[in-house]
Formats: sequence, C-alpha cells, structure tokens
Amino acid sequence: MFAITDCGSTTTKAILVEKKDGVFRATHRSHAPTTVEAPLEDISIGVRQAMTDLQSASGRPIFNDVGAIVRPVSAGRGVDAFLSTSSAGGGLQMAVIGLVGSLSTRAARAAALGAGAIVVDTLAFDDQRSPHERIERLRALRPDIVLLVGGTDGGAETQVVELAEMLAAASPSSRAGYSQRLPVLFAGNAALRQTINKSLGDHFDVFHEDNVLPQVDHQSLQAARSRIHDLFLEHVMRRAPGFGSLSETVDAPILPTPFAVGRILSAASRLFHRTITCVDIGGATTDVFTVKGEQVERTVSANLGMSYSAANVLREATTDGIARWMTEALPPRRLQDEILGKAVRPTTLPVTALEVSLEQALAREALRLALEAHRAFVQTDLGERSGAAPGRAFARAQETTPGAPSLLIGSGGVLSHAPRPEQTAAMLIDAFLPTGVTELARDNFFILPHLGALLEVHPQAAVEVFERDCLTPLGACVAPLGSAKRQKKLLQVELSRGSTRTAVELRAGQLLRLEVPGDGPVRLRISPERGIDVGAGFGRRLERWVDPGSVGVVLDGRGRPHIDWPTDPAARREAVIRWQDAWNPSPRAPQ
Amino acid sequence: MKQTVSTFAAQPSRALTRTRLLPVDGEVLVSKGDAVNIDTVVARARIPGRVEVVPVGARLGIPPHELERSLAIRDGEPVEAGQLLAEHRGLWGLSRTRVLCPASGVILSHSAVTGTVIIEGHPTEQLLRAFVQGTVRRVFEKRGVVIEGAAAVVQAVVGVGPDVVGPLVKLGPQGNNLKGSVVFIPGRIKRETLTLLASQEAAGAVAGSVHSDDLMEFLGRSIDPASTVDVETPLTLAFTEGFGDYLMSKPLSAVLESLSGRLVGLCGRTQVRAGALRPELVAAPRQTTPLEDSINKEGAFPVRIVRGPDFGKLGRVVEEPRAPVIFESGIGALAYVLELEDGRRLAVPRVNIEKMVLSKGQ
Repeated sequence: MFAITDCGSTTTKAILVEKKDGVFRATHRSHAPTTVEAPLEDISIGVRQAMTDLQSASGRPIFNDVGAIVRPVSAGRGVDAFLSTSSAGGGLQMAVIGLVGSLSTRAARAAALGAGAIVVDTLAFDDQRSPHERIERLRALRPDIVLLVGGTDGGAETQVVELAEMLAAASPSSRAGYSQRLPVLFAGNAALRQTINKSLGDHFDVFHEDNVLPQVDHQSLQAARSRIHDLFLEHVMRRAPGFGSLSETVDAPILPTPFAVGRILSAASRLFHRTITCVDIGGATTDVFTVKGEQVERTVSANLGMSYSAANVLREATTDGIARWMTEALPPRRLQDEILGKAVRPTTLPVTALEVSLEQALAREALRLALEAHRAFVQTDLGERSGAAPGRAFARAQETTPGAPSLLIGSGGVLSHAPRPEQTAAMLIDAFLPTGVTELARDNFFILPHLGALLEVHPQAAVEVFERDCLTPLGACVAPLGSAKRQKKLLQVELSRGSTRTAVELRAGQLLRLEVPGDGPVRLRISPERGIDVGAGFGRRLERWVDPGSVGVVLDGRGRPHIDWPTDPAARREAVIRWQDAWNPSPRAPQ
Repeated sequence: MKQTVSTFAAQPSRALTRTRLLPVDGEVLVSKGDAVNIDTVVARARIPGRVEVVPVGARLGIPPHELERSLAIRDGEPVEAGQLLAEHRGLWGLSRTRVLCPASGVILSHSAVTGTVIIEGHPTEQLLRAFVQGTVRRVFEKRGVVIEGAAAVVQAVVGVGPDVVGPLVKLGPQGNNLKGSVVFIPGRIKRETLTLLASQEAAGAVAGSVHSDDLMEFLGRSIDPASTVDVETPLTLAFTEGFGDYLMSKPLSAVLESLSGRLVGLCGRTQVRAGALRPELVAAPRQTTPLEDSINKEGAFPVRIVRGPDFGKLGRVVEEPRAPVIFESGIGALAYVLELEDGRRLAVPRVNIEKMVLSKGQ
C-alpha cells in the first residue's frame, strides 16, 4: 500500500494505491491547497492536509497517535511507503542566454526544457534587441537559474564574453530573494571557463558543464540537462518553505513533477510498444511530452494556458484564430473581453453553451501553439541523437509523421472536465491534427506524476495503476495524409468486431464519427485511394485494432498536415457547423 | 458558507496592514512607532539608470587588450553625454580617433576581452509612500516598512499603474481641473475619457469597467491583465468589475461617493497568481452609509455574480445544494442558489460568485 502526493503550484493531490483482487489500484484520492506561499509558507502543511483527507476518504488509519505516517503497514494502519513529487512554487524558472538564436541558444533552450524548466525568456546575441533592452529585460526577470551558452568548443569567444559582461551589468536577482546569489550555468565554449568566472564570479554562483553545442552540427544536451536537474534540486526545490521536513518524511527522493511524468510515460511506452504524446493544459502553462521508449521529449509552454496565460494565447492566435472554431458569431471586442475576463478571474466556470464553446476554441489554439513549440524542439533534439544537423533532422521528422503518435493523452481542466468526452476528442484532434491511426485517451485526475514516483519503488504497481485507473479511453482517429479535391473519396474503412462488419467511405473535407457501442477493441481495415496515406504508405492498406472508448472511431478527411479551411468566412462557419454536427451520432458501427 | 469563495472589499472602515517595500535597496525615512499619513514618504531608493554598451575598441580600431590605455575615464567615474570617453592616436600621433560618451552616468566596467565599455545612466529617485494612515510597526533596513492602521478600502479586479495619491473626484462636466486627482467613474470608462484624463494630468481613475481594446489602445500596447506589474501608463487605473460594459456594484460606488473630495491612495498593479496582488483604493476610515448599513443588516452576506449572463448582479445565498448542479453549458459544479435583488432565484457555480466584504475588521 502506497500513499503518494504531488505538490502542484496551487493544489496538492494525494492518492492511495493498494492491492485489490490481486492487482494494484488507485483506490482513493484527495486534494488540498498547496501551502508553499504566504501566509502558511510550509509545503508540508498542505501535504499533511491532503493526507488527512485521504485518511478520511479511505477510512484507513494512516497516521499514528503523534501524527506521524505509519510505515510499514502494521495492524491495518499506515502504508508501505510514502512518496511525493513537487512543482510547487512555480517549478523551475530559467533564463537562457546564447549567441545565435538558431544554434547554441536553441540547443540551450532544449536542454532547459528537457530538464523540466520553464524558460522565462531567451536572449540571443542576434535577437534584434539592443544591449540596453537585453539588460533591462534581464533586470526585470527573476529566474531560478541562468543558462549561458555560446561558441562551439574552440570557436567564438569575444561575443560570448560580451554576453557574460551584459549579464554582470544587469545583475538580475534570484527568484529566491534579493539576498540569494543566482546560480549561472555556463555550457558554452569550454575554453572560456576562466574568463567567464572572472566576469561573473563576483555577482553569481557560477557552474560549468559540457558545451551544449560542441560543434556546429552536433548538440550535446544530456550533461547540461543533468546538471540543471541537480541545481534545481539543490538550489531551488530545497529552498521551498517546508521542503526540508517533507524530504525527511518521504521514503524516496522527492521528484520534480515533470520528471516523474516523463518516467511513467517512458515505462508505458516501452511496455506497450507505442509512441505516446501527452499534453497537460493548465491555467498558466501547457506541457507536451512525446515519448518513444527511453526517449522522452518534453516542452513546457510557460505562456500558453487557459486562464493566467489566456491573454498570451489571444495575442498569438488572434481573435480571428479563436473565433474560427466557434459556430456562434461573437464580435471580436466581446470575445477579447471574455477571454481577458477569464485571465483576471481564473477560477470561474463557463455556465452557458456559448462560454464553453469559447473556452474550447481558446483551448484548441493554446494546444496548437504548444504543439508547434514542441515540434520545433523535438526536431532540434533529433539532431543530437542522429548526429545530423537540426535542419536535416527536421526534414526526417516530417517524413516519419504518418502513423505517429499512436496514443494521444489529454489532461488538464478543459480536457479532463469537458462536459462530454467527444468535446475532449474534438479539441485534441483539431489542435494536434494527428495523422494515420491514433488512439485518444484522457487522464481525468492527472495521477501521472504520482505513478512516476511509484515507478521508482514499485514498477509493477505503477504500471498496473496506469493501465487500470489512470486513463479513460476516448476512441480512435483515422486521418489520411495526402491531397484530394473536395468530396473526392479518400478511403474506405471496414470496422469489425466478431462477425459484425460495417464499411464507411470518407471523402475529402468530411468529418465522420462512428459510434461503437459495447466493450472491447474493434478491427479497422483501411483502404486508402492512390495518393492517400494512412501510415502504411501511399495507397497501401492498413489494419489496426483500436479501443473505440466512449467516443468511437473518428474519420477525419479535413486535410493534413493542415486543415483545408474554406477561405470565405461564411463557408468557414458552415464548415465548422458541419464538423460540429458530425460529433453527433452518425452511421452505427457493429455492436 | 463552508467553501472558501473569492472576496472583494468595499469597506468604509477596517484594520489594514500593509508591507511597503522598495524594488531595490534604498533608505528608510521613518522609524518604528512613527505615525504616518497616506502620502507620507516612508522610504526612497535610487533606481539604476539605462545601461549603454559602447563598443569602444571597435570604434577606435584597436584590439580589446589595448582599450585600457585609450580610456579617458576609469571605472566608477561619472561621465556626461558628449564627454571624451576614449582616444587613440595612430600613425605616430598624426591621426586621432575619439569616442565620446553617448549618455550621462557612471562607467560601470570595461572589458579587455570584448573592448566594450558599459555606462550606467544616472539613477532616478523613487519615493515610497505609506499608502495607509497608521503607525510604522516594523522597519526592514534599506527595504521598507510594515504599517498598521485603519482605512476605507475599495478593491478592484484588474488595473494598471503604480501607487498614486490624490483627492478623489467624481467625473463631472468637462472643464474640471483634474490635475493630480483620482477620478471616480461608476460605469464604463471610454477611450476618449482615458485620453482626456491623461491630458489633464489626472493621477488615476477608478471605474466600473473598460473594454479591453480601449484600454490597450490608450496604453499603446497589448497587456496581459493577469500580470500588469511592469506596465507603464500615464494614468493609474483600476476597474472594479473588469472588462466589458458594466456598472460598478452599488456598495462600491456608495463607498467611493462618500470618499469624494478626500485624499486617497490608488494602486492599479495586478498579479493574479504568485502572491496575488489586486488593485485597491484606500483612504482614511469613515462612517458607514445607510446603504451599507442596510446591506449589513440583511443577515446573509451579499454576493455578486462574476461570470455569465447575470454578471454583476447582487444577491444573497438562500440554499447550498450538496450535489453538483448541471448548467446549460453541460458543466457540473457545486453551486449556491442565490436570491437576486429582483427576486429571481438561480443556481450559480460557487466559483462564479464573489463575497463582498463590507463589515469592519481585517
């Protein structure tokens, strides 16, 4: 039996994992406000509250008479292990400074994101900002760590030192307080370490790590990622008020939340032999993970979210970009007022159909933008693994698009708590535009961090809970790649379960939803037309077993890699209404 | 009401404690136990000026390590714009190349690696006012103070701009001298009114609402209303209801009416998360009005709806259903049943109401 907490920025969530009928299940959940900030300023208070509520919810005594968590289980009291993850206090916030935006700076950003950081700003020698603008910006930032890079090994020197001198002139304060020295990690031209120490040593705690770009066509991110992770634990997480007492209470090191999520997704990917894409959209940030076996790619878009960051989504997507997803006509001024109203009252809920429609339109754009950022990052990172330049890796990633990802997981309020599961599926499909055959699921309670922590001490328990209690299957999406004139036949799908079969044709521009009542997987036999690819190659047949979940099988012929939007506004609205109608039941599939 | 709900304040008199801190180290001008008024300057700081990076080596055409001997001014010395910064004599002294200071300030540093000189502009003085009438209870050396006192407080939901102090004036016929005033507008403030107030050098304005596009056009930039701490504005602004076209809630406008003509402090800075900061207007405390008394006597607390078609309506809680209520949107949520001022009863998600804090106390 295990009790596990995840201390988020606003909520601390606890789960109880125990064996039921021979398998591990997450049997009870509770939550309490995170107490890392004033007035309580002790993270362990929120954890204790969540655990107390868990005790009440489960009816199982967890604490002893003096208020300590009993371990191991003794006479029906306590748990075998108490574990925790944490992103309290806003997680790790980093500023990245580099020489060339498309090379060293991009690599540094990838290293920071891969280590679980939120990148609050990226400054590059060639970013079009004047020196004083960069200094003003640095002074305004209050990061936890600065990552300074630049120059290949044996390469550029002067400009890198100039960046260091700029950083010294700005002397940004640490988020931990004015009296704390800010850690600066230098992962640039190794020949400059002494010079960097001289420039920055009086102002900062300076650390050195292997160059993230030792050669122009080769990145090396792992050492920097690992060092950032250590600095985070040592200099940031431990500073959280009450972290010390929580550390003494748990039975394994407290893991940063995103790191724990990556661990469990990686385990699931290996076990089920599939590529997993997972998105967690919150009020302030949107995390995207792509996981293939051991390979975990993660980005966090710190400025994309449904409330605190709604203004930024609006700025990047524009009112037109958001309104295009709505069947209702809403004047741009009203749309903007509504979205910014959500930003200043982030906990409010939509009560009318129009308000839900607007929130879900906003979510589509936030997810789309987060995925764009993620794709750019993954393609950069591929360069390192393959030893190829980022540009070539980018091209290769594009070539391998059909068929991946095979499982798309949605999490976060707007996805997990959408009134109907088909709305969650629609948001995921519209934003991510998956190609080939993709299964969709949602994580209703976001217990992935907990399972990542559990994986460290009991892998079997973590995997069993992942399989049974973590995800709710939504259904599957079939979306072909290739261009065709509107209404032209793209493919035929035959769905079968047992002896029952149904065949459906998909035409260009169409969106069809096939409800599949009953339990168990269905077999899809997909026959694409010439020039159309569903993952096996152009014109080649594909067969897949999929879990139809609660939504069924969605056939999306609207175009890939981008939806073929009608240019005329009226036609566009008609199309959106038609797509909306498609989410209502259409041809009945086999039972 | 067991669940914690958001609150907003319209209090004629309450105890108030405020921690007042400088953005950088400075000088505290008051001592523990001192009595202070809203406009008393309690601390001051010198905010570092703009930094200029001058590529002196490149402009002189010399390698960086030769910069030292070419400089006319040393690190830490003050300079004026146009003053000689560095000079290089070439061709046996026949040619002379000079670099002049592009800005006034102090030489922060020079680099023998990059050949650059960094000049920091003259600092500007920032004064920190008490903002609350009361007594200094604690002093943080070089940083600020804690003040305890009593005040009338009106809280807004969003705003921009730093602390300002001035007499509260209700916007009347044009031609009023509004210079230095904090202007009170019970309804939506229009773009042309914002421009008018700025042109008359009003210190700030508190209004019911604003259209977000009007606000951004006035500011000349788009803003993130969830974090306006760094937004520069010619006019400190606070909006009690938010974005759109809404009248200020009656209790708020009643408190503001009663403060008309008095010295008030207004801060527009908004930070929705991470140590939440909301705009507020404060003044010396005063007696309650008949309207506030009648609201206080109702027994149940008054609330206002802050989302949906009934935005801004006031009511009181008459029922607390235990099971979640399903709304038109399909969303299920814990709700309160409210009785509105017009007698209607309706269920509203608990997170969509704000409790008005009207009575005395913290």
